[in-house]
Amino acid sequence: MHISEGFLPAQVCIAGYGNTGLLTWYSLRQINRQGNPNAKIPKASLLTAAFFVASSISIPIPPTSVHLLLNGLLGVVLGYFAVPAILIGLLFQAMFFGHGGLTTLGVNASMLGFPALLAYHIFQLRFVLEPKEQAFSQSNGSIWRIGAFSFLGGALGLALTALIFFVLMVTLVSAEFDVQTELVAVTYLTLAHLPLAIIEGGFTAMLAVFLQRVKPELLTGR
Amino acid sequence: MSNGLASKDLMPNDLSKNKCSVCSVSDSVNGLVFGALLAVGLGHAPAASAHGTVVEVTQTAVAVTATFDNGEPMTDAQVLVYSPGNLETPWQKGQTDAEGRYLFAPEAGTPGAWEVTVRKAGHGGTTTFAVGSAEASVATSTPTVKTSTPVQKWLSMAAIVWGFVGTALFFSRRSSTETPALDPTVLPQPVSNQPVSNQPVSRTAADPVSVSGSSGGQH
Repeated sequence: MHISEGFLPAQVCIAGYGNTGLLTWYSLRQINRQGNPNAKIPKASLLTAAFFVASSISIPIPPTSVHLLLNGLLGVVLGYFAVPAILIGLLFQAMFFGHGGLTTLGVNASMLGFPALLAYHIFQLRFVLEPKEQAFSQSNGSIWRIGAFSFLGGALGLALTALIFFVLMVTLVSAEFDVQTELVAVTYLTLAHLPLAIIEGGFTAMLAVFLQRVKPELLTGR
Repeated sequence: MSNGLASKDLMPNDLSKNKCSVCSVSDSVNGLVFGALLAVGLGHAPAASAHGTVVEVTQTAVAVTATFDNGEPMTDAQVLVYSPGNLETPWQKGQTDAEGRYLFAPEAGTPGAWEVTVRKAGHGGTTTFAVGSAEASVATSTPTVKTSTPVQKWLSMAAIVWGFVGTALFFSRRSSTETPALDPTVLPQPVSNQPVSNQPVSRTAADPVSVSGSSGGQH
């Protein structure tokens, strides 16, 4: 789900870069406040590699096919690191494989980065909704709560990306194209991402539960 | 515009070999146009053989083949063709067939860079190709995105992934070597315990060295 070059007006591309700039600035600022950013770079770097490769793995969902996004997963596991990770991953995808493009990099990064931050905050809701007696403990929360909120983060992160894509593609169709034909095609593609959202949500939950059991410090804390 | 050609009827069998597996648009040339000119004989020949026939074949069609980078054809994708003289208003519109192909015949009298845009669900791309002078019957094309073989693709992907893994290893190594130095509670233990265990008990209390050693970790 990358917006290709040539299909968006120049104003939208520039606005996308501006929005991505703000998003990246905010994320880096939050990362800097958390202290010792270097400690989390290995995890962020490895998940950036996974994000980069994921777009080459296509899943046939008739009548079309979709590819993995993993932006919700990055948000859940990386927190604010997800935004620079997605930006770097998209840059490499555009340069080497032609997925998306350099002019639409800003729009694509915002389209995937903002839902990733939403996924992170959904995952953090497990602390808000936990029982009062555990509110001041240092644990990450119970396994069930981690699994449920990571599933929601992974699934809703992707679903929001699909929704943003749908709105952009429907509202910004060039007058030369047949709007109705494009609307049908975009609708099919967006609906095909709903099963993918469940798949990625499940995958995110499995990864979060696995990390909690094996190395809980790798999960984002309070 | 009604210049679109039914690729089912006119596409040679080997035409698909010319396809470039680009994410958005690929191209190929050498479609066939059968221009049949029927000349009616008006001479003095008997009626049964009065009709002379001329069949002329001109290779002036362009075939566009659009595939995704995984090889899957872009079926029912919208195609816009722009002539060199007017890049704002499409010269022709159409849709790709079940194999992602679209055929059209550019005007022979309009040489220059023609442009083709293919789009389906926000995916696609634009490519240009040159049509020569009036006598040139074959167009050449230049994809906007360079194609790569699967081996090249997997090699570049492996190189990039290795770059990410190397970054992770670099920062994990730095953090593991820096951690003891940053933690003031780790180093003092061996420093303070070593001299105490090796020295006589009677001397420990009076020796200022052992006292300073026990607080050395706080410097």
